[in-house]
Amino acid sequence: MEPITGKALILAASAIGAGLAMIAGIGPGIGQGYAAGKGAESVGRQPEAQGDIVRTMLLGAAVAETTGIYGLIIALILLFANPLIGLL
Amino acid sequence: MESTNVLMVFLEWLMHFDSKALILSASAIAAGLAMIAGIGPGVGQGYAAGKGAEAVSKNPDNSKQTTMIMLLGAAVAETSGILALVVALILLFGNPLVDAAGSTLIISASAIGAGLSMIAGIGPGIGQGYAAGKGTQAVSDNPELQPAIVRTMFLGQAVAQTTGIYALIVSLVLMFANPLLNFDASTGEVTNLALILAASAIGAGLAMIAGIGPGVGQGYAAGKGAESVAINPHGYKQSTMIMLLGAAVAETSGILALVVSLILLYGNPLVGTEGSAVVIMASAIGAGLAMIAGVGPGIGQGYAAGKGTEAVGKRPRLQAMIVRTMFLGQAVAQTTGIYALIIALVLMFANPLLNLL
Repeated sequence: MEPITGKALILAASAIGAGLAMIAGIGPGIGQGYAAGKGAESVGRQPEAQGDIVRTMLLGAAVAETTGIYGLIIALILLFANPLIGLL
Repeated sequence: MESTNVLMVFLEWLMHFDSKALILSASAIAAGLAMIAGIGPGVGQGYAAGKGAEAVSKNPDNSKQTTMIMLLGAAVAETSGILALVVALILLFGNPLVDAAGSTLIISASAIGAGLSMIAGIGPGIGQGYAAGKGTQAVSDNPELQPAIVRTMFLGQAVAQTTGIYALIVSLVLMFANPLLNFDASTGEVTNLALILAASAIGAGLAMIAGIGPGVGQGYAAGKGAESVAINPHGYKQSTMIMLLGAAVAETSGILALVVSLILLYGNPLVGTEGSAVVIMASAIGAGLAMIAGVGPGIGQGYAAGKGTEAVGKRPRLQAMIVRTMFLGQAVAQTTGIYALIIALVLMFANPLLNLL
């Protein structure tokens, strides 16, 4: 194995960091799934209110998505625009 | 020095790198760790969204008001996700540790500790989201009670944020005002002292993860408080008081974790301890890990606080009996958190393992 440079170490750690950041996705998955379930239940109970129900569900689910997107942004920064390499 | 010890070989290998490379690597991992907090708002806001959809189906005429309360509550539940994002962005774009003077090992470990600490944000995110959902449901069922319901919801959500703030403080201390760096002046080499202090930084971060518990539990209490206000508007003050009382008990584990974390940072008894460095190091990490047990009492006591609030809201005259039972149950729920504290204190102050070598 060739010697590992400092840059390589940072890149390796960035790979791990990018992976760790994505663990956040657990949350939106659970939360939005709950919203989808309640949405389906509600449409079943009140079919004529479908438009309103789905709008509220999607709006709420969009809010629940945010932290997953934050995690994705940090992972993408680590992968494609890594600011740490420039600090070396 | 040729060593066959895996840990020493690993540390020597690490120390071959430029010190900046090590710190930046640790920062990359820490940025990732911090973002794990996003689990909380995701779960909580999703619950709120579900309750919002349900409420709209029950009461389609109030769809605008319902949606507004849902978004208000969910906005509060976002806090922990934003705090974690800020810490990650600081580590990536405004890293104060790169130019910090001191031991590379301690600085790198402090970055990891700062990231670990932020994981506590899972709790407030879930709890506040639950409160948002219950608040939404309550307002949709009783639109005229909106001010009282929302006030109780916000109050409960604010309490649920506290452990997330503790975690942020520990994270910021590790990044910007690190007391561990004052103990050890060595920079490049791996001294025993540097190893112990590095482990303490990680231990301090791990302990704060306990904050998940109070965050979830107090959020549950906040949700039940909002619900109770809707069921019994005249008992508004009484319900809110019981909610705050129960939530205060649920805070215990978060405070205990903060104390252990601050001991590791500011009054570290391990620094002057004689004995095997690796055992002392592992003890610092073990003390932090033990405190994570606080997740349980925090959630459990918060559940009790919520149910107590609900019960008093329904039957105000039985308040004394209900609150007594709630406190009794909460005290029992605290036991495992106390066990964890004892083990953490033994590891830090009266470590029996050091005499066995």
